[in-house]
Amino acid sequence: MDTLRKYLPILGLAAFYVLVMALRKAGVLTSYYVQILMFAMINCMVTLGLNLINGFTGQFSIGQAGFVAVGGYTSAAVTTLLLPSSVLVPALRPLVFLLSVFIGGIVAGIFGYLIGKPSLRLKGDYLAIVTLAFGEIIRSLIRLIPQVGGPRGFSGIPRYSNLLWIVLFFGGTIWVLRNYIYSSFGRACIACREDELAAGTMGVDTTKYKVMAFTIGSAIAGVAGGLLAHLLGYLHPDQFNYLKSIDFLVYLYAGGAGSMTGSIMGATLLTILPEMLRFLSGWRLVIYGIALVFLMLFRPQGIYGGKELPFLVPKIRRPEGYEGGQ
Amino acid sequence: MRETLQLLIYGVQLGVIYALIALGYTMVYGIINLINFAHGDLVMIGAFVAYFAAELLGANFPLAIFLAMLIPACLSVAIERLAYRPLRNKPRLSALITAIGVSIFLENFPRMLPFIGPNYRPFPMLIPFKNFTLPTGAVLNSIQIVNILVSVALMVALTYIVHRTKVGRAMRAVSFNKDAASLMGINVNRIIAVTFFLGAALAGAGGVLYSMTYPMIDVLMGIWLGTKAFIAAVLGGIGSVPGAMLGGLIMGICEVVATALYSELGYGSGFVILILILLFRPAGLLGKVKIEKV
Repeated sequence: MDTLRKYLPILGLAAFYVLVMALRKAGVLTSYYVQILMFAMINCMVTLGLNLINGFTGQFSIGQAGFVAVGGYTSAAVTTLLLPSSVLVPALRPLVFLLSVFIGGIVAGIFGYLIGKPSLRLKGDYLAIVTLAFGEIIRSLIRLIPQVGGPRGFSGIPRYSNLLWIVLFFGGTIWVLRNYIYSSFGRACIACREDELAAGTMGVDTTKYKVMAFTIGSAIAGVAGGLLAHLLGYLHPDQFNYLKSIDFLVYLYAGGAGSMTGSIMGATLLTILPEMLRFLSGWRLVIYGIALVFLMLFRPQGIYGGKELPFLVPKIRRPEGYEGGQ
Repeated sequence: MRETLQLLIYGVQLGVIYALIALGYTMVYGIINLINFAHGDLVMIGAFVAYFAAELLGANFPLAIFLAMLIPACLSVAIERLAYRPLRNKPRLSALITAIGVSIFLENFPRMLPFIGPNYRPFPMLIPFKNFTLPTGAVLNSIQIVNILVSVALMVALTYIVHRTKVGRAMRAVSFNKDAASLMGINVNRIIAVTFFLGAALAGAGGVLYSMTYPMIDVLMGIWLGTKAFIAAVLGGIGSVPGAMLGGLIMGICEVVATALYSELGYGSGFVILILILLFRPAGLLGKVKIEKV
């Protein structure tokens, strides 16, 4: 029974993949819907990463799109400029893709570390400003690099991403984050969120854990960027402007900060909702704006704030005869 | 030398506008710690009010700018009442998300109205255009003079209100400590509403002055203007009124100079300056570092 419980999420994800593929084959879902699902999952990944920073560690990053851009451009540069698909045997392409996505994640993580290290020492909205500025600076810098298309955009990226890859990375992200959050590292992060001063007094190296959370969150955004680049086949610096970062913030807080379920629900719902309202043409954004205000007025903690679906909480093993609290 | 002076004139002209808009961000942040994302859109509303006042009513410059200050100000008070006040004691970031929602609404609702729509519109000439050549050879035009004079006058007025009137004293008290202020008999809700009113009035004026300088307006113009003004507010020290003015000027001048050097640099330059300043003065140029008490 326990084994089944343990593997249930994996089975669920596999079943989801099989279901979507079957519906796709049966013609119920068009490639447009599958595309939206893939975007939703990529948005989920970025939001989950952001949740680690904003929701669990209590920091306030508002430049997440910048890290998506770094990851996307880096991994696209690997598959397009360094190892273009034309020089590769077909069997090697998935490997190169995998490699490029990880490189994108690592580079975004390094950027996150470099930005987080000086700015996370301070308290308050300092990180927010620095990340906002970072997102915009990255965009300006990309415009200055002609090899990746500069202001014209980076085209000709091989479209390696497909539903399988995205589902795998999505599952991987949830797995990594779940294990991180329910480890001693995660508890240290939550302690920083609840009361930084008290956490410091209890011997938690707050700067270290904040930087660590920020780096991991940024790296996840980078991985999502790599997937996005190879899904779209085209990147433009303006795709990653600060409005994009704001989107991720909205997904996070509408879903409920500090809950992985919330992030997944927020990102999925709010990716699909504007698409479903497409028949309203321009009015959909008007409705989206009002819906957001009402959601926050009536549920300020977000849709699923502070709660978690059971399979996202690992079972805590207690020694025999343990009778303490939680 | 002549070119430097000329760039400086352009920079100051842009800078005072940024400063006007930045004041609204800084006042609201100073008083309720909210980054008011909808503030930039009030700039746009101000520009459109002046546009319609001039086109439909044939208003002259003083009337147009008066209406462009009044209507966004009332709108801002209504937004505060409906979307921010109910969340006053809820998690701080909930209000931020409603601010984003209000901003999305303010950008897209006018876009769908048939008489506004998504297209760019030419902004009418509210004052006659005239060039004056300074003795050093730099050229100053009438719009620049009006921009700078009006902005400075508004900033002086704001400084007077904040530092010399009863309402201003109450504003400073609320931003210092909300609970203590309310115990002293200050109606905190009313003071917050006044802050929103003043901030939005300045934003509306900023919108008119900006549109006179770059006479093309559209419903999305507030986004980038707002972002840059926000950066200016942070640069000067968010929460500090003189800081916002200084930050606005620095942003304006840097942007103009960087664009003159290399056109692609213009946009990013302000952010680089911001990071450099924050590295050495985390609270901004004139901001005060808060001491944490347990």
